[in-house]
Amino acid sequence: MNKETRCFVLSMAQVSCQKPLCDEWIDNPCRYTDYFVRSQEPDTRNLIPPSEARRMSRILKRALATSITALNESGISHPEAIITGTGTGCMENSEKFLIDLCRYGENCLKPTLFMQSTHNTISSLIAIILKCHGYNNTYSHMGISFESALLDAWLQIKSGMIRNALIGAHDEVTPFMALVMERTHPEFAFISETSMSAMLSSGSDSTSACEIKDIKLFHKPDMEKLAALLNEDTDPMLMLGINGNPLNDAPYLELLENLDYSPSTEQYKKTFGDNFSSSAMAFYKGVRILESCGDDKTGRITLINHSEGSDWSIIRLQRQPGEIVKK
Amino acid sequence: MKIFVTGTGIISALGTGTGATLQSLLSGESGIDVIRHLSTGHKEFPAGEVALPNEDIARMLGVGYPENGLRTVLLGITAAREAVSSASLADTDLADAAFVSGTTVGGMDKTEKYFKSAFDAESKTEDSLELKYNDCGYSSGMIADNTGPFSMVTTTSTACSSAANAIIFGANLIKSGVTDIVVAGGAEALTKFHLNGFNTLMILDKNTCRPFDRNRAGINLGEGAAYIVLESEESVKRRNVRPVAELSGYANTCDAYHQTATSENGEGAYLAMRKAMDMARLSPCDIDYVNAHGTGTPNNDASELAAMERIWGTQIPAFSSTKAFTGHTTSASGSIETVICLLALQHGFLPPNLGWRTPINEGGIPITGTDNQRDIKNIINNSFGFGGNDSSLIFSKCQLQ
Amino acid sequence: MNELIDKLKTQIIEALNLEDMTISDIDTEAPLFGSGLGLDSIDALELIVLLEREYGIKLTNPAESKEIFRSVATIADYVSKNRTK
Repeated sequence: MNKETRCFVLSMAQVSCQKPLCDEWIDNPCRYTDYFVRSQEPDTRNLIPPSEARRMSRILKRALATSITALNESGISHPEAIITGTGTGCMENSEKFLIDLCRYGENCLKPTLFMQSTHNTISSLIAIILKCHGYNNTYSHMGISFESALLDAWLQIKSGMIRNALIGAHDEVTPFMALVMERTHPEFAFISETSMSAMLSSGSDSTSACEIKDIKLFHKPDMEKLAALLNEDTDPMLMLGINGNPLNDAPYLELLENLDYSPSTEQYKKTFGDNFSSSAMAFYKGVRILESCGDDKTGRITLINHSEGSDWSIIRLQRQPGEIVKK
Repeated sequence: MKIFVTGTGIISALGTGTGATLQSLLSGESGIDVIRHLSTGHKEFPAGEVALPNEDIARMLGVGYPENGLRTVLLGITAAREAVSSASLADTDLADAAFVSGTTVGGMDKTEKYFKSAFDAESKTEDSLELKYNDCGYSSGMIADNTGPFSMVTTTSTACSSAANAIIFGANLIKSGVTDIVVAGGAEALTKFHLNGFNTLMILDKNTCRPFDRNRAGINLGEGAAYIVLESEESVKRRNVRPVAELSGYANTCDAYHQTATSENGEGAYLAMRKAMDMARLSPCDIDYVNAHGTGTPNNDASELAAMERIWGTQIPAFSSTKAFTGHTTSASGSIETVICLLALQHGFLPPNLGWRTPINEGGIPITGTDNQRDIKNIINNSFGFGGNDSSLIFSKCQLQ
Repeated sequence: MNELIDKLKTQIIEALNLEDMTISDIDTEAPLFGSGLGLDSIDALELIVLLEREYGIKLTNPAESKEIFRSVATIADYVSKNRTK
């Protein structure tokens, strides 16, 4: 890996329980008391032709909306890689197929539902629409699906294999799934849906661009080992997946107790809710915070996420004022 | 930086372990048969099932049953443990290693059993708890945790190229210095969901599949798991182990044409093979054998042949699809066929394209019969998934200094 | 027959998710595939499912369905002669 090659965030877009494809959530967040909150749907009429949209489930439309928005803003029309993370993939279609299996037995089943049920439907649909022949991959590993996709892109950019990548994290929740998750995921506070896309690049023309300095994934790590990593640099603010539910929060609190210092912390789940792609909103919020730092300040944020206390990710973001790095 | 393969593990319709697999390949004995284990009404479609019910696999592994009852997990543990053992990896080696597994169905075998009752009861009964195991990552985690103390685990899910992409990501983790050792591959159990899914696309053959045959009529599905151990040169020397082969090149591209159909000129396939050869610094004439994706559908085989012709013209090297041996093992096919390629490399033979009789065109004549001893140096293994996710892996005979 | 044609149009709109279309937007004689509505091979498979679910007609060969699905008129003609439901 070339230590000289860097990785910047050129642009991002989100669809969530907050107003889509904008940042109104910063000053004017929607507040919810329900346990299950669906995404606010973006208007895709200008982004996706009706002849294509008719076949698309919600998650596909949202993914396309955030991808095309992020691409347009970045000025890159053909990314060299398209890499997505999704915890449960195209659940609406999978569920409908399962319901039809129950209702009709093993006959009279609809091909479109199956064809668009595999997890890689999202990544490949983006490639088909953009006619992009570059690297295309999909990760599905519960609550670190996004980070897995991000790590893949980041390693390839840092090692010079590619100059840019469109990454994303997309998860949808159906009403039935929400009922199931209430039982199977008692650590969630309120369930929502997420679609987040970002363009990454080895350079940036913007002086407010945020850099991804490091990303690491861990499986069942020692808390002392994680804490030791964080103790190496006490400066950054920590963005944690705290949601107010003790089952979810306990591992974060245990980690904080192992630190040698008292960090400033920030959270995001009270705004964006819980689902397998939530950690992408930690990234989104962290980058937005750094982009709006004053021009004379170096900003650093470390994102920390765990998935059921078993898989962890640490992402270091930084913004240096006034820098321009050629793409 | 060179990446070596130091261990392999496999379970499929050809049997449990690399020994049984080798025997079946050398004797030309297919594992495809009438469906016996999957509870389905579609007995008209032959498939390559692993010939063991879940309870037997669990007993063989010494894991508790039914708590470890996900079939994808049981198959995965079987293959992963063999890979780790064949590479002489101890727990201390695995503590810094990564595990990357490809799957699409995950725990769907359990989901389809409990879905109706959970749905009808609006999740108010215990049955809905069984749906927790549906997602891909859960299966990978269980396979990893029953194999060794890996420090990083993740899951690729790109349909039929999942395992190949797991291997590619594993190689990139090593090249980037994240880790020295990666156990990578895939696992997939046969389920009603995807058997019926493929049937809706009308691409299943009611007879044994005939890849690259003019009269081919579709796919036989299969199931299984396979993993390989990828290692940096430094780690191989430090541990003083003998590599099986070198992963000398690889590429992941996208056909970007259609969700289930392949482009006529096989653009994604062409780019994947070309880029893999570029990375390996090999010319087309250096390739001794192509293990084709060769599913047996009219569309895939024509496209893949077109892509090969674009690269090799009339001089296509020896090639075959081994899917008439194992069935199309979907997410696991990239690693199952990798292990088949590695056996071919080690033992110097070309696996035949069972079921083939008539060529699609003059250039498309695959290897047939079992009298195929050959000194092989470089193999390309193709895995092409739905959505145009095309990956090619090149394995070469070892040149370890 | 007109009733069947209208019913088919409604069912086609629903099965293929032709959002914002009504039965008056579909020309009974116009080609459904290629030009006209511009449907593709996956839509053809969906129409096969529609015929089986609603009319008990089982088409096992996608190739033979090309002529049957040429237009709403040809579908209606085939259904009226072969329906078992």
